Amino acid sequence: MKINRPTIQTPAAPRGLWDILPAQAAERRALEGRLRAAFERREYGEVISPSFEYYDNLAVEAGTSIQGDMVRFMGTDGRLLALRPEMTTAIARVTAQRLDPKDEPHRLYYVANVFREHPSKRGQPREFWQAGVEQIGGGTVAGDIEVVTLFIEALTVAGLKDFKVGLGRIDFLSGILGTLDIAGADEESLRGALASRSLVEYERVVLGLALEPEARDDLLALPALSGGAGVLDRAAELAAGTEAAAVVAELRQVYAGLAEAGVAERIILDLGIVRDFDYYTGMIFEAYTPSLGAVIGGGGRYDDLLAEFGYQAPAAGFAVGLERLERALAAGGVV
Amino acid sequence: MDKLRIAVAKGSLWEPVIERLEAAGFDIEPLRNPGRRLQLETAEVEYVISRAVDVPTFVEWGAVDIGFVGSDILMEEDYDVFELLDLAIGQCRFVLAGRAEAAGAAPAPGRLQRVATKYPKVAADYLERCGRQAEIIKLYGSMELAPLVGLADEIIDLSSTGRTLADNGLVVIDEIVEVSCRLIANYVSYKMKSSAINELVNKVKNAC
Repeated sequence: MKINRPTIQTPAAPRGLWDILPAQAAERRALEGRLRAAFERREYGEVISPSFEYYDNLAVEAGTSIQGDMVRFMGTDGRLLALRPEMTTAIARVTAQRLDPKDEPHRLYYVANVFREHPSKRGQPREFWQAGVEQIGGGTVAGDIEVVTLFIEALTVAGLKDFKVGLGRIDFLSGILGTLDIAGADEESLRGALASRSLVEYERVVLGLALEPEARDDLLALPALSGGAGVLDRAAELAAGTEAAAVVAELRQVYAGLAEAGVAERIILDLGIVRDFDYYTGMIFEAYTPSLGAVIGGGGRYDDLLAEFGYQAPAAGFAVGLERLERALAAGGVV
Repeated sequence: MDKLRIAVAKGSLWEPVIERLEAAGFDIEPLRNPGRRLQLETAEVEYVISRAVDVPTFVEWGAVDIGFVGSDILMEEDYDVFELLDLAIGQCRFVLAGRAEAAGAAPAPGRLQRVATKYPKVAADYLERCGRQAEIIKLYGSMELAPLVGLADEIIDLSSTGRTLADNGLVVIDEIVEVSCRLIANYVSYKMKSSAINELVNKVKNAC
Protein backbone atom coordinates (compact mmCIF):
# COMPACT_ATOMS: atom_id res chain seq x y z
CA MET A 1 0.00 0.00 0.00
CA LYS A 2 1.24 3.47 -0.82
CA ILE A 3 1.45 6.18 1.81
CA ASN A 4 -0.45 9.26 0.69
CA ARG A 5 1.81 12.05 -0.47
CA PRO A 6 1.02 15.59 -1.51
CA THR A 7 0.38 15.64 -5.26
CA ILE A 8 3.23 18.08 -5.78
CA GLN A 9 6.45 16.45 -4.59
CA THR A 10 8.08 18.48 -1.81
CA PRO A 11 11.83 18.78 -2.30
CA ALA A 12 13.56 16.99 0.55
CA ALA A 13 17.05 16.78 2.01
CA PRO A 14 18.46 13.25 2.07
CA ARG A 15 17.52 11.06 5.02
CA GLY A 16 19.31 11.95 8.24
CA LEU A 17 20.33 15.46 7.13
CA TRP A 18 18.69 18.48 8.70
CA ASP A 19 18.55 22.20 8.04
CA ILE A 20 19.25 24.73 10.76
CA LEU A 21 17.06 27.83 10.40
CA PRO A 22 17.96 31.36 11.60
CA ALA A 23 16.84 31.21 15.24
CA GLN A 24 18.59 27.91 15.91
CA ALA A 25 21.57 28.89 13.79
CA ALA A 26 22.06 32.00 15.93
CA GLU A 27 21.99 29.86 19.08
CA ARG A 28 24.43 27.42 17.52
CA ARG A 29 26.87 30.17 16.54
CA ALA A 30 26.65 31.66 20.03
CA LEU A 31 27.46 28.26 21.56
CA GLU A 32 30.37 27.81 19.15
CA GLY A 33 31.59 31.26 20.13
CA ARG A 34 31.72 30.32 23.81
CA LEU A 35 33.65 27.13 23.01
CA ARG A 36 36.07 28.98 20.71
CA ALA A 37 36.74 31.51 23.47
CA ALA A 38 37.53 28.68 25.92
CA PHE A 39 39.95 27.09 23.42
CA GLU A 40 41.62 30.37 22.45
CA ARG A 41 42.10 31.40 26.08
CA ARG A 42 44.52 28.46 26.34
CA GLU A 43 46.18 29.49 23.07
CA TYR A 44 44.74 26.82 20.82
CA GLY A 45 44.51 27.92 17.19
CA GLU A 46 41.77 26.95 14.76
CA VAL A 47 42.32 24.48 11.92
CA ILE A 48 39.93 24.28 8.98
CA SER A 49 40.51 21.10 7.03
CA PRO A 50 38.78 19.58 3.98
CA SER A 51 35.41 17.88 4.45
CA PHE A 52 36.63 14.78 2.65
CA GLU A 53 39.95 12.98 2.49
CA TYR A 54 41.38 9.87 0.91
CA TYR A 55 39.60 6.96 2.56
CA ASP A 56 42.91 5.27 3.42
CA ASN A 57 44.01 8.30 5.45
CA LEU A 58 40.80 8.37 7.47
CA ALA A 59 40.63 4.60 7.95
CA VAL A 60 44.02 4.55 9.72
CA GLU A 61 43.47 3.18 13.24
CA ALA A 62 40.02 4.72 13.31
CA GLY A 63 38.61 1.49 14.58
CA THR A 64 36.39 -0.95 12.79
CA SER A 65 33.16 0.51 14.16
CA ILE A 66 33.84 3.88 12.56
CA GLN A 67 35.37 2.52 9.33
CA GLY A 68 32.14 0.77 8.44
CA ASP A 69 30.15 3.94 9.10
CA MET A 70 32.06 6.22 6.75
CA VAL A 71 30.28 7.90 3.83
CA ARG A 72 32.45 6.80 0.91
CA PHE A 73 32.60 7.70 -2.75
CA MET A 74 34.93 7.40 -5.71
CA GLY A 75 36.95 10.37 -7.01
CA THR A 76 37.23 10.93 -10.77
CA ASP A 77 40.77 9.53 -10.53
CA GLY A 78 39.36 6.26 -9.22
CA ARG A 79 40.63 6.74 -5.69
CA LEU A 80 38.31 6.03 -2.78
CA LEU A 81 37.34 9.12 -0.80
CA ALA A 82 35.36 9.49 2.42
CA LEU A 83 33.68 12.29 4.32
CA ARG A 84 35.47 12.71 7.64
CA PRO A 85 33.70 10.68 10.36
CA GLU A 86 35.61 12.53 13.11
CA MET A 87 38.38 15.13 13.21
CA THR A 88 41.29 13.58 15.10
CA THR A 89 42.56 11.47 12.21
CA ALA A 90 42.08 14.33 9.73
CA ILE A 91 44.11 16.67 11.96
CA ALA A 92 46.82 14.01 12.30
CA ARG A 93 47.07 14.09 8.50
CA VAL A 94 47.20 17.91 8.49
CA THR A 95 49.93 17.88 11.13
CA ALA A 96 52.08 15.37 9.28
CA GLN A 97 51.69 17.16 5.96
CA ARG A 98 51.87 20.80 7.05
CA LEU A 99 53.33 21.37 10.50
CA ASP A 100 56.93 21.54 11.68
CA PRO A 101 58.01 19.41 14.69
CA LYS A 102 60.17 22.37 15.79
CA ASP A 103 56.97 24.27 16.65
CA GLU A 104 55.68 21.63 19.07
CA PRO A 105 53.57 21.45 21.06
CA HIS A 106 50.91 22.20 18.45
CA ARG A 107 47.70 23.38 20.08
CA LEU A 108 44.89 23.07 17.55
CA TYR A 109 41.11 23.32 17.72
CA TYR A 110 38.22 22.86 15.32
CA VAL A 111 34.51 23.37 15.02
CA ALA A 112 33.46 21.11 12.17
CA ASN A 113 30.75 18.95 10.68
CA VAL A 114 31.44 15.22 10.55
CA PHE A 115 29.59 12.45 8.74
CA ARG A 116 28.62 8.89 9.60
CA GLU A 117 26.21 6.39 8.17
CA HIS A 118 24.20 5.09 11.07
CA PRO A 119 24.42 1.29 10.96
CA SER A 120 20.76 0.72 11.80
CA LYS A 121 19.61 3.38 9.31
CA ARG A 122 16.70 4.32 11.53
CA GLY A 123 16.82 7.95 10.47
CA GLN A 124 19.52 9.05 12.90
CA PRO A 125 21.62 12.01 11.79
CA ARG A 126 24.26 11.35 9.16
CA GLU A 127 25.89 14.73 9.66
CA PHE A 128 26.61 16.29 13.02
CA TRP A 129 28.90 18.92 14.51
CA GLN A 130 31.86 18.60 16.81
CA ALA A 131 34.06 21.12 18.60
CA GLY A 132 37.34 19.86 19.96
CA VAL A 133 41.06 20.24 20.44
CA GLU A 134 44.24 18.29 19.72
CA GLN A 135 47.45 18.86 21.64
CA ILE A 136 50.32 17.37 19.65
CA GLY A 137 53.85 16.97 21.00
CA GLY A 138 53.23 17.93 24.63
CA GLY A 139 54.38 16.02 27.70
CA THR A 140 52.27 13.06 28.75
CA VAL A 141 51.18 13.97 32.27
CA ALA A 142 51.14 17.74 31.72
CA GLY A 143 49.37 17.22 28.39
CA ASP A 144 46.74 14.96 29.94
CA ILE A 145 46.06 17.49 32.70
CA GLU A 146 45.81 20.38 30.23
CA VAL A 147 43.44 18.56 27.87
CA VAL A 148 41.07 17.31 30.59
CA THR A 149 41.06 20.71 32.31
CA LEU A 150 40.24 22.41 29.01
CA PHE A 151 37.46 19.83 28.37
CA ILE A 152 35.87 20.74 31.70
CA GLU A 153 36.39 24.48 31.09
CA ALA A 154 34.76 24.23 27.66
CA LEU A 155 31.67 22.41 28.95
CA THR A 156 31.39 24.89 31.82
CA VAL A 157 31.74 27.92 29.54
CA ALA A 158 29.15 26.34 27.21
CA GLY A 159 26.71 26.67 30.11
CA LEU A 160 26.49 23.06 31.26
CA LYS A 161 26.01 22.93 35.00
CA ASP A 162 25.46 19.39 36.18
CA PHE A 163 28.04 17.16 34.55
CA LYS A 164 30.74 14.65 35.44
CA VAL A 165 33.80 13.45 33.56
CA GLY A 166 34.68 9.76 33.69
CA LEU A 167 38.46 9.34 33.50
CA GLY A 168 40.21 6.04 32.89
CA ARG A 169 43.08 4.32 31.12
CA ILE A 170 42.71 2.12 28.05
CA ASP A 171 46.04 0.42 28.91
CA PHE A 172 45.06 -0.65 32.45
CA LEU A 173 43.39 -3.91 31.38
CA SER A 174 46.20 -4.89 29.01
CA GLY A 175 48.74 -4.13 31.78
CA ILE A 176 46.93 -6.48 34.15
CA LEU A 177 46.44 -9.16 31.51
CA GLY A 178 50.08 -8.91 30.42
CA THR A 179 51.28 -10.58 33.61
CA LEU A 180 48.57 -13.25 33.64
CA ASP A 181 48.95 -16.27 31.42
CA ILE A 182 46.11 -15.48 29.05
CA ALA A 183 45.90 -16.43 25.38
CA GLY A 184 45.57 -13.63 22.83
CA ALA A 185 42.16 -14.90 21.77
CA ASP A 186 40.87 -14.73 25.35
CA GLU A 187 42.22 -11.19 25.73
CA GLU A 188 40.33 -10.26 22.56
CA SER A 189 37.15 -11.82 23.98
CA LEU A 190 37.52 -9.81 27.20
CA ARG A 191 38.06 -6.59 25.27
CA GLY A 192 35.17 -7.42 22.96
CA ALA A 193 32.86 -8.02 25.92
CA LEU A 194 33.83 -4.68 27.50
CA ALA A 195 33.54 -2.85 24.16
CA SER A 196 30.04 -4.24 23.63
CA ARG A 197 29.33 -3.30 27.27
CA SER A 198 28.30 -6.82 28.23
CA LEU A 199 29.37 -7.54 31.79
CA VAL A 200 27.50 -10.85 31.46
CA GLU A 201 29.79 -11.91 28.61
CA TYR A 202 32.87 -10.49 30.38
CA GLU A 203 32.12 -12.55 33.49
CA ARG A 204 31.48 -15.65 31.36
CA VAL A 205 34.89 -15.31 29.68
CA VAL A 206 36.72 -14.61 32.98
CA LEU A 207 35.13 -17.63 34.67
CA GLY A 208 36.20 -19.77 31.71
CA LEU A 209 39.88 -18.85 32.13
CA ALA A 210 42.27 -21.08 34.06
CA LEU A 211 43.24 -18.57 36.77
CA GLU A 212 44.14 -18.50 40.44
CA PRO A 213 41.05 -17.48 42.47
CA GLU A 214 42.69 -14.19 43.45
CA ALA A 215 43.54 -13.19 39.89
CA ARG A 216 40.03 -14.18 38.81
CA ASP A 217 38.41 -12.00 41.48
CA ASP A 218 40.68 -9.10 40.47
CA LEU A 219 39.54 -9.40 36.86
CA LEU A 220 35.88 -9.63 37.87
CA ALA A 221 36.24 -6.47 39.97
CA LEU A 222 37.85 -4.48 37.17
CA PRO A 223 34.84 -3.17 35.19
CA ALA A 224 33.23 -1.78 38.36
CA LEU A 225 36.39 0.02 39.47
CA SER A 226 35.00 3.55 39.59
CA GLY A 227 34.54 6.41 42.00
CA GLY A 228 36.66 9.03 43.77
CA ALA A 229 40.32 9.13 44.75
CA GLY A 230 39.94 5.81 46.60
CA VAL A 231 39.80 4.07 43.21
CA LEU A 232 43.51 4.83 42.75
CA ASP A 233 44.40 2.81 45.86
CA ARG A 234 42.22 -0.13 44.86
CA ALA A 235 43.61 0.02 41.31
CA ALA A 236 47.16 0.12 42.68
CA GLU A 237 46.46 -3.04 44.72
CA LEU A 238 45.12 -4.82 41.64
CA ALA A 239 48.03 -3.61 39.55
CA ALA A 240 50.81 -4.42 42.04
CA GLY A 241 53.58 -6.31 40.28
CA THR A 242 52.04 -5.85 36.81
CA GLU A 243 52.70 -3.45 33.94
CA ALA A 244 49.53 -1.66 35.04
CA ALA A 245 51.32 -0.33 38.14
CA ALA A 246 52.98 2.41 36.05
CA VAL A 247 49.60 3.20 34.49
CA VAL A 248 48.02 3.76 37.89
CA ALA A 249 50.99 5.86 39.04
CA GLU A 250 50.56 8.12 36.00
CA LEU A 251 46.81 8.35 36.52
CA ARG A 252 47.49 9.40 40.11
CA GLN A 253 49.73 12.23 38.87
CA VAL A 254 47.07 13.38 36.41
CA TYR A 255 44.38 13.27 39.09
CA ALA A 256 46.60 15.32 41.43
CA GLY A 257 47.10 17.87 38.64
CA LEU A 258 43.34 18.08 38.08
CA ALA A 259 42.83 18.59 41.81
CA GLU A 260 45.37 21.41 41.69
CA ALA A 261 43.48 22.94 38.77
CA GLY A 262 40.36 22.85 40.94
CA VAL A 263 38.35 20.44 38.75
CA ALA A 264 38.73 17.15 40.68
CA GLU A 265 35.12 17.26 41.91
CA ARG A 266 34.01 16.82 38.27
CA ILE A 267 36.03 13.61 37.89
CA ILE A 268 34.81 10.05 38.30
CA LEU A 269 37.85 7.78 38.09
CA ASP A 270 36.67 4.76 36.11
CA LEU A 271 38.93 1.98 34.88
CA GLY A 272 36.01 0.27 33.15
CA ILE A 273 35.71 2.90 30.40
CA VAL A 274 36.22 1.71 26.83
CA ARG A 275 35.85 4.17 23.97
CA ASP A 276 34.86 3.58 20.34
CA PHE A 277 38.18 4.51 18.76
CA ASP A 278 41.10 2.11 18.42
CA TYR A 279 43.73 4.87 18.34
CA TYR A 280 43.74 5.58 22.07
CA THR A 281 46.87 4.46 23.92
CA GLY A 282 46.57 5.86 27.48
CA MET A 283 44.19 8.22 29.23
CA ILE A 284 40.57 8.18 28.05
CA PHE A 285 37.68 10.31 29.28
CA GLU A 286 34.07 11.21 28.55
CA ALA A 287 31.40 13.57 29.90
CA TYR A 288 27.98 12.69 31.30
CA THR A 289 25.02 14.79 32.30
CA PRO A 290 21.82 13.38 33.86
CA SER A 291 19.51 14.88 31.25
CA LEU A 292 21.14 13.02 28.34
CA GLY A 293 21.31 9.24 27.86
CA ALA A 294 24.52 9.40 25.82
CA VAL A 295 27.95 10.89 26.43
CA ILE A 296 28.25 14.59 25.43
CA GLY A 297 31.82 14.23 24.33
CA GLY A 298 35.10 12.59 25.15
CA GLY A 299 38.68 12.07 24.23
CA GLY A 300 42.00 10.64 25.22
CA ARG A 301 45.66 10.13 24.47
CA TYR A 302 46.73 8.67 21.13
CA ASP A 303 50.51 8.45 21.06
CA ASP A 304 50.80 6.15 18.02
CA LEU A 305 48.34 7.73 15.58
CA LEU A 306 50.64 10.39 14.10
CA ALA A 307 53.31 7.77 13.41
CA GLU A 308 50.84 6.22 10.95
CA PHE A 309 51.41 9.38 8.91
CA GLY A 310 55.18 9.33 9.44
CA TYR A 311 55.19 12.01 12.14
CA GLN A 312 56.44 10.92 15.58
CA ALA A 313 54.70 12.73 18.42
CA PRO A 314 52.56 11.95 21.44
CA ALA A 315 49.14 13.58 21.34
CA ALA A 316 45.87 13.95 23.18
CA GLY A 317 42.56 15.64 22.47
CA PHE A 318 38.79 15.61 22.77
CA ALA A 319 35.61 16.31 20.85
CA VAL A 320 32.25 17.60 22.09
CA GLY A 321 29.06 16.84 20.15
CA LEU A 322 27.29 20.15 19.58
CA GLU A 323 23.80 18.68 19.01
CA ARG A 324 24.10 16.64 22.20
CA LEU A 325 25.42 19.64 24.11
CA GLU A 326 22.50 21.74 22.87
CA ARG A 327 20.05 19.07 23.95
CA ALA A 328 21.61 18.85 27.39
CA LEU A 329 21.53 22.65 27.74
CA ALA A 330 17.90 22.77 26.65
CA ALA A 331 17.06 20.12 29.25
CA GLY A 332 18.13 22.41 32.04
CA GLY A 333 21.89 22.43 32.21
CA VAL A 334 22.11 26.20 31.77
CA VAL A 335 23.60 28.22 34.62
CA MET B 1 19.20 11.70 43.70
CA ASP B 2 16.25 10.88 41.44
CA LYS B 3 14.57 7.52 41.81
CA LEU B 4 15.78 4.79 39.49
CA ARG B 5 13.40 4.32 36.58
CA ILE B 6 12.94 0.65 35.66
CA ALA B 7 11.36 -0.77 32.49
CA VAL B 8 9.42 -4.00 32.87
CA ALA B 9 7.68 -5.64 29.93
CA LYS B 10 4.29 -7.32 29.75
CA GLY B 11 4.60 -10.82 28.35
CA SER B 12 6.38 -14.00 29.31
CA LEU B 13 8.95 -12.25 31.52
CA TRP B 14 6.38 -10.17 33.44
CA GLU B 15 5.65 -12.69 36.22
CA PRO B 16 9.18 -14.05 36.78
CA VAL B 17 10.67 -10.54 36.80
CA ILE B 18 8.11 -9.26 39.31
CA GLU B 19 8.69 -12.31 41.51
CA ARG B 20 12.42 -11.69 41.43
CA LEU B 21 11.99 -8.00 42.27
CA GLU B 22 9.75 -8.95 45.18
CA ALA B 23 12.27 -11.52 46.41
CA ALA B 24 14.93 -8.82 46.19
CA GLY B 25 12.90 -6.71 48.60
CA PHE B 26 11.33 -4.21 46.21
CA ASP B 27 7.78 -2.97 46.62
CA ILE B 28 5.97 -4.46 43.62
CA GLU B 29 2.37 -3.87 44.80
CA PRO B 30 1.61 -1.26 42.09
CA LEU B 31 2.70 -3.79 39.44
CA ARG B 32 0.20 -6.36 40.72
CA ASN B 33 -2.68 -4.29 39.44
CA PRO B 34 -1.44 -1.62 37.06
CA GLY B 35 -4.74 -1.22 35.19
CA ARG B 36 -4.01 0.88 32.14
CA ARG B 37 -1.32 2.93 33.74
CA LEU B 38 2.15 2.71 32.19
CA GLN B 39 4.07 4.59 34.90
CA LEU B 40 3.94 3.44 38.50
CA GLU B 41 5.83 4.86 41.43
CA THR B 42 6.83 3.39 44.77
CA ALA B 43 8.74 4.99 47.62
CA GLU B 44 11.98 3.64 46.16
CA VAL B 45 11.70 3.39 42.38
CA GLU B 46 9.58 4.21 39.36
CA TYR B 47 8.35 1.41 37.09
CA VAL B 48 7.61 1.87 33.41
CA ILE B 49 5.62 -0.76 31.56
CA SER B 50 6.60 -1.11 27.90
CA ARG B 51 6.50 -3.72 25.18
CA ALA B 52 9.33 -6.22 25.52
CA VAL B 53 10.88 -5.30 22.19
CA ASP B 54 10.94 -1.61 23.16
CA VAL B 55 12.72 -2.07 26.50
CA PRO B 56 16.27 -1.72 25.09
CA THR B 57 15.22 1.36 23.10
CA PHE B 58 13.91 3.14 26.22
CA VAL B 59 17.13 2.16 27.99
CA GLU B 60 19.47 3.13 25.15
CA TRP B 61 18.04 6.64 24.88
CA GLY B 62 18.08 7.12 28.65
CA ALA B 63 14.29 7.42 29.02
CA VAL B 64 14.66 4.76 31.72
CA ASP B 65 17.76 3.85 33.72
CA ILE B 66 17.48 0.07 33.64
CA GLY B 67 15.27 -2.60 32.14
CA PHE B 68 14.56 -6.31 32.10
CA VAL B 69 14.66 -7.86 28.64
CA GLY B 70 15.19 -11.21 26.93
CA SER B 71 18.60 -11.70 25.32
CA ASP B 72 16.75 -12.67 22.09
CA ILE B 73 15.79 -9.00 21.68
CA LEU B 74 19.34 -7.82 22.42
CA MET B 75 20.68 -10.21 19.77
CA GLU B 76 18.33 -8.99 17.05
CA GLU B 77 19.54 -5.38 17.02
CA ASP B 78 22.66 -3.50 18.13
CA TYR B 79 21.74 -1.51 21.20
CA ASP B 80 24.30 0.60 23.02
CA VAL B 81 23.37 -0.50 26.54
CA PHE B 82 25.18 -2.07 29.48
CA GLU B 83 24.27 -5.71 29.99
CA LEU B 84 24.69 -6.12 33.73
CA LEU B 85 23.21 -9.42 34.79
CA ASP B 86 21.88 -12.72 33.48
CA LEU B 87 18.89 -13.44 35.71
CA ALA B 88 18.67 -17.05 34.55
CA ILE B 89 14.89 -16.77 34.22
CA GLY B 90 12.69 -17.03 31.16
CA GLN B 91 15.14 -19.52 29.72
CA CYS B 92 14.58 -20.90 26.26
CA ARG B 93 16.66 -21.34 23.11
CA PHE B 94 16.81 -20.31 19.49
CA VAL B 95 16.35 -23.40 17.34
CA LEU B 96 16.33 -24.27 13.67
CA ALA B 97 13.30 -26.49 13.09
CA GLY B 98 11.70 -28.17 10.11
CA ARG B 99 9.13 -30.79 9.18
CA ALA B 100 9.82 -34.15 10.79
CA GLU B 101 9.72 -36.03 7.48
CA ALA B 102 12.15 -33.62 5.81
CA ALA B 103 14.64 -33.46 8.71
CA GLY B 104 18.00 -35.01 7.94
CA ALA B 105 17.22 -35.27 4.22
CA ALA B 106 19.68 -33.42 2.02
CA PRO B 107 18.10 -30.33 0.46
CA ALA B 108 17.42 -30.63 -3.25
CA PRO B 109 20.63 -29.58 -4.97
CA GLY B 110 20.57 -26.12 -6.44
CA ARG B 111 17.32 -25.11 -4.83
CA LEU B 112 17.53 -22.06 -2.57
CA GLN B 113 16.19 -22.90 0.89
CA ARG B 114 13.79 -20.56 2.63
CA VAL B 115 13.85 -19.91 6.37
CA ALA B 116 10.99 -18.11 8.13
CA THR B 117 11.70 -16.19 11.33
CA LYS B 118 10.68 -13.29 13.54
CA TYR B 119 14.41 -12.63 14.04
CA PRO B 120 16.04 -11.98 10.63
CA LYS B 121 19.36 -10.79 12.06
CA VAL B 122 19.74 -13.80 14.37
CA ALA B 123 18.82 -16.02 11.41
CA ALA B 124 21.23 -14.32 9.00
CA ASP B 125 24.10 -14.50 11.54
CA TYR B 126 23.43 -18.19 12.18
CA LEU B 127 23.14 -19.16 8.52
CA GLU B 128 26.31 -17.27 7.67
CA ARG B 129 28.16 -18.98 10.53
CA CYS B 130 27.06 -22.35 9.13
CA GLY B 131 28.08 -21.32 5.61
CA ARG B 132 24.51 -21.90 4.44
CA GLN B 133 22.73 -19.88 1.80
CA ALA B 134 19.04 -19.33 2.35
CA GLU B 135 16.34 -16.77 1.77
CA ILE B 136 15.03 -15.28 5.01
CA ILE B 137 11.32 -14.52 5.32
CA LYS B 138 10.24 -12.23 8.16
CA LEU B 139 7.06 -13.23 10.00
CA TYR B 140 5.53 -11.70 13.13
CA GLY B 141 3.99 -14.82 14.67
CA SER B 142 2.97 -18.47 14.24
CA MET B 143 6.27 -19.48 12.67
CA GLU B 144 5.19 -23.13 12.79
CA LEU B 145 2.72 -22.44 10.02
CA ALA B 146 5.37 -21.53 7.46
CA PRO B 147 6.77 -25.03 6.75
CA LEU B 148 3.27 -26.57 6.93
CA VAL B 149 1.89 -24.45 4.10
CA GLY B 150 5.07 -24.38 2.05
CA LEU B 151 6.05 -20.77 2.75
CA ALA B 152 9.44 -21.88 4.05
CA ASP B 153 11.48 -25.04 4.38
CA GLU B 154 12.57 -24.32 7.94
CA ILE B 155 12.03 -21.85 10.75
CA ILE B 156 14.31 -20.18 13.29
CA ASP B 157 12.39 -19.43 16.45
CA LEU B 158 12.43 -19.48 20.25
CA SER B 159 11.49 -22.75 21.87
CA SER B 160 11.31 -23.62 25.56
CA THR B 161 9.70 -27.04 25.79
CA GLY B 162 9.47 -27.84 22.08
CA ARG B 163 5.79 -28.72 22.48
CA THR B 164 4.41 -26.21 20.00
CA LEU B 165 6.89 -27.50 17.43
CA ALA B 166 5.94 -31.12 18.08
CA ASP B 167 2.21 -30.33 17.97
CA ASN B 168 2.72 -29.02 14.45
CA GLY B 169 4.82 -31.94 13.26
CA LEU B 170 8.11 -30.02 13.43
CA VAL B 171 11.39 -31.21 14.91
CA VAL B 172 14.45 -29.37 16.12
CA ILE B 173 17.24 -29.65 13.55
CA ASP B 174 19.81 -27.53 15.39
CA GLU B 175 20.03 -25.66 18.68
CA ILE B 176 21.45 -22.21 18.03
CA VAL B 177 21.87 -20.41 21.34
CA GLU B 178 20.44 -20.23 24.87
CA VAL B 179 18.30 -17.21 25.68
CA SER B 180 17.42 -15.75 29.09
CA CYS B 181 16.32 -12.55 30.82
CA ARG B 182 18.98 -9.86 31.19
CA LEU B 183 19.17 -6.72 33.29
CA ILE B 184 20.37 -3.84 31.12
CA ALA B 185 21.29 -0.24 31.97
CA ASN B 186 21.61 3.02 30.11
CA TYR B 187 25.27 3.93 29.61
CA VAL B 188 25.15 7.32 31.30
CA SER B 189 22.82 6.13 34.08
CA TYR B 190 25.24 3.33 34.88
CA LYS B 191 28.11 5.80 35.06
CA MET B 192 26.31 8.53 37.03
CA LYS B 193 24.17 6.36 39.32
CA SER B 194 26.56 3.46 39.62
CA SER B 195 26.11 2.91 43.37
CA ALA B 196 22.30 2.83 43.19
CA ILE B 197 22.35 0.54 40.15
CA ASN B 198 25.02 -1.79 41.55
CA GLU B 199 23.01 -2.05 44.77
CA LEU B 200 19.95 -3.08 42.78
CA VAL B 201 22.00 -5.56 40.72
CA ASN B 202 23.34 -7.19 43.88
CA LYS B 203 19.89 -7.44 45.46
CA VAL B 204 18.41 -8.99 42.31
CA LYS B 205 21.41 -11.29 41.89
CA ASN B 206 21.27 -12.59 45.46
CA ALA B 207 17.51 -13.01 45.51
CA CYS B 208 17.43 -16.24 43.53
